[in-house]
Amino acid sequence: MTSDLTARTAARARLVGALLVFLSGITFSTKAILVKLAYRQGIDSVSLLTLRFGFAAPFFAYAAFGAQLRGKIPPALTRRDGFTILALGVLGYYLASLSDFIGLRYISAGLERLILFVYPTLVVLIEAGVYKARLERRQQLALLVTYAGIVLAFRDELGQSLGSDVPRGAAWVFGSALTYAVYLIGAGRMVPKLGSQRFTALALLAATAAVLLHACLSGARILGLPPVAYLIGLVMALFATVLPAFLLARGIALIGSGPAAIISSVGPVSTILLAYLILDEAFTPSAFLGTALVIIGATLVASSPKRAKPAPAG
Amino acid sequence: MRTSFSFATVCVFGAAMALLPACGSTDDSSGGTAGAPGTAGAPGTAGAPGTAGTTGTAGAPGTAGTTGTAGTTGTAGTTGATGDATRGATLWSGSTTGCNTCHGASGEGVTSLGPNVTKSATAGIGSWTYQQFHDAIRTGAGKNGQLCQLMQKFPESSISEQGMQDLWAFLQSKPAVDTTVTDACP
Repeated sequence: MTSDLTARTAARARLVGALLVFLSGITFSTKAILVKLAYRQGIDSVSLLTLRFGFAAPFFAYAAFGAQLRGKIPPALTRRDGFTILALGVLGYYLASLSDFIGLRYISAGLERLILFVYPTLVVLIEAGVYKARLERRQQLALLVTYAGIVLAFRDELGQSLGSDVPRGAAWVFGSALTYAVYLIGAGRMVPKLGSQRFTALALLAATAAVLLHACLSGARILGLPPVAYLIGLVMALFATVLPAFLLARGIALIGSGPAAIISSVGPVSTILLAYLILDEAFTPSAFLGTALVIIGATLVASSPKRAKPAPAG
Repeated sequence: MRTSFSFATVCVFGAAMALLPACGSTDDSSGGTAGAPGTAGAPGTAGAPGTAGTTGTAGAPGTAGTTGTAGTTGTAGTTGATGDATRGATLWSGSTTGCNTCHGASGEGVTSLGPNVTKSATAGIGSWTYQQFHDAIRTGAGKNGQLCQLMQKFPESSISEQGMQDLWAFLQSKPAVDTTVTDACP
């Protein structure tokens, strides 16, 4: 009787975990759509980024310091830890988001999400390069499949466009995936020390400060924007930044990072579908095939042992 | 150490938040980078799309003349988005878009083909917002409803979002022409 109950509880936890990761993928997938809607209003990348991080900052601050407010004293941080968090936050959230937002000015939301999704393969490649580790056959195959998918989707979009904008946008978004991959490698060393939630929240706060500083130095317009700009920024902060992060963290805790990686592959599909429905973006057979290949390849890599957790990038 | 780091983080974040309104205010008062004050728009519509001037400084109707000397960047009204007029010029006369074929080299229009799309508030699109301009190109529906059937719709695969802002900046960099041109549709 007791074992039945335990099994049922475990099954329910797995189901809830899977659902949370699925919802995380869906909510995060709306980010590119919201960015595109903002661009249609003529809102610039830096202003939009500032609104996103500015609205989300109180939640990050609560996640970072909430425990202290409740009287729980977290483990002490050294000065070195502080600098590492600052550097990783700037790299993994500020630079990654900025280059992603810039890239979205040049390419479709669907292609952007597809390129972002290659970050697990970049983690593998960087680690292989840094630690001189040999790639397993499964990893080699996964990389081949992933990049074949990108080329297929990329050629498709390139063929329809003026040409010059697509490589430029793709390069920006690839830069976003690359910086996020580097962040994940660094995060792998910090998370065991600080815990996932505290580290992520502190890194996001560091990124927020960097975004605000950028906005100030570049003279980005924050006040006096049309009301719709603040609405989009708020929705993006709550539903495409804070909510997916919390859902994913809870989901991974319930089902583990491997299954979460597989379920997260709903993200690109969701973005492409939403872009088709809301933004009227084209969805061709080769884009469909390319998307399938990227999802299969990236999922194979991400779900293999000792791989990075599938946290949302950009 | 723990306390000092937490304190430092809060301070950095707090300082950044405190700076934010100042940043916005500075930008607000300085206006945009393109469009000479008073070259476009009716009274009270200053800061008309693309001119990004300081609110309230636009000229009176009729003064919108040929003196527009905007630089190579333009801003999309009050939204702060920037485009590159030089890139916009390339796009304007590009083989895929071919805007110049129907709207002339500088947007002045071509009789019985394409209307005046200069920043003239009376004869062009000087009273349009960036979004109206954007939607006209994407969907074929302008500020005053459906455009002439000859006006091609350009999806994002043809003109990117950046391309849209570049085109806008290009048109804002050109002088307002107050001559109404009839298009191909009666």
